[in-house]
Amino acid sequence: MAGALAFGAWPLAQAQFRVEISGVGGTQLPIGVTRFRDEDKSGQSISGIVRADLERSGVFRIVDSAGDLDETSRPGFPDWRTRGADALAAGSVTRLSDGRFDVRFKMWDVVKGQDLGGQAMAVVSADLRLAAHRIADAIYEKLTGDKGVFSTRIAYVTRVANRYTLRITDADGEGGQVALNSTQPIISPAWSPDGKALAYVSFESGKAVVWSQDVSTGERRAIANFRGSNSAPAWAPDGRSLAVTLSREGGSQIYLMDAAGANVRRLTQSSAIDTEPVFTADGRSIYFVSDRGGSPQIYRVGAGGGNPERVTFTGNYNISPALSPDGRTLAYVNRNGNDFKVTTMDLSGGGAVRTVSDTSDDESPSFAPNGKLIIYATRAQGRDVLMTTTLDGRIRTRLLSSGIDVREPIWGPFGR
Amino acid sequence: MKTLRITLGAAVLGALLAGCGSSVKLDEAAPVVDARPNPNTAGAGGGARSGAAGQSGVTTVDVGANNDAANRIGRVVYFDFDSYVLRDEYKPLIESHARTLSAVKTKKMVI
Repeated sequence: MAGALAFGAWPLAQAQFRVEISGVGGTQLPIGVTRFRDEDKSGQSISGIVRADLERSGVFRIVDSAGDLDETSRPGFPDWRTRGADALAAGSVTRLSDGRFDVRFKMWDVVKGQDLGGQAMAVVSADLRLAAHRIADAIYEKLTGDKGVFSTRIAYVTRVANRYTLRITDADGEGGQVALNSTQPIISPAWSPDGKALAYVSFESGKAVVWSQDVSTGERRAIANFRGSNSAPAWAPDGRSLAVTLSREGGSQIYLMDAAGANVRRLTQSSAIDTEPVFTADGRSIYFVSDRGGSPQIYRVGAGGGNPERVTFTGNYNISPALSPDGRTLAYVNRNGNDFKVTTMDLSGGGAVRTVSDTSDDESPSFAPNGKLIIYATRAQGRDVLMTTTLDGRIRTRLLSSGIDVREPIWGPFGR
Repeated sequence: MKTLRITLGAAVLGALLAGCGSSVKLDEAAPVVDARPNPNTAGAGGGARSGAAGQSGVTTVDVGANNDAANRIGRVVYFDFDSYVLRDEYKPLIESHARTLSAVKTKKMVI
């Protein structure tokens, strides 16, 4: 393939998602990523996935990457300088006798002419995309100092006519697999902290019931099926308990229970609607939505109970809290008239409030596990779409679905 | 029960393979796994396939519901927080259920 594309084409011809980047920041790091030796024999364009990940972050610019290098090469740095590259990565994919693939890569600092190291990993065919994402993470971390999230997953709900699916994809929207197919709605998915399970609300039995499902085996159990409505599951960071909203005593109130659904105890004590709980990363507090003050606002309460404190004071309708892993930022949806917009608040002092989206029908913000991106659902051209944004709102990508409605995105943790 | 055994076997096989997905230094050859088939799943094509799912595999669960007529119309109406105002997009759904209820007097509806 002498005429190899300078940019990786988006990996799959049948991709359901197109990505658009807007508001790219000032300086981008130029990098070349050549075709990995024998990647075409593996069925995945490893280098294409790496190039797409790096480009989609908005932090990198891909230079002309034509060339036949691998991890054992000695690159001609002057040639790569001419192409404008500051960094270079190359690698190979080799099929092993046990059917797995040995994926290797190396990266170089082109300016200094220095070897920056590399990695080898042996993976089954089904994990080739994951191997490519791990390479993109390694390159991203080496060159930016920040942990990458390319090898994480997201879950979201799609609706086509009257079929609902709970779908899991890589963070780039590709490699989609279905966790649950239902003729009844599925809402409020929540990843367990170890990334092995999803809790969600299913209406399959005719009412709202909270289920927990092991992602790889499909084993599931109903963990909250009390009288009335069971909804809004949220995992504690140690994975051993959850907060849920139950209406079993009349109004919607927040309860805690262990991961199997036992040891249920009530957390909030109001006659208002209290819902949408979310734990802080240290597990000590829970943020939630309540209309006890007359309109929906976000409150914080100790996970052991106590008097909740109100947190949002700007605007008269604030819902759907999400917390950054470092605990410094609260993301939520503010409604102003008919506009629903993802908004952030600085929790580490100052309380500065900032609108981060440029659309007006936003819902369900969720932080990436490195705390640097927020994913949310919104409407564009009459379709539900998923967007990611940096916290300052400057780099946004749109994962456009090809005609299906997508809602309730939730970003999975590091590790699977 | 057969399905359950296959699922458990596949999970064990998946765990073995996933554990071998670790990184090695570039100057070493990758260790080749002697993939002994799990006796519980040998011959079960489904088990062997999902055992090779590594760390990316997701098992699909299908749940259906019985009430097909209601399903075709749709049964779920979303309301804004603490509001009883019916949004325009749901008016046809409510009207269609209302017609069904008027037409068949013995039908009951649970909200």
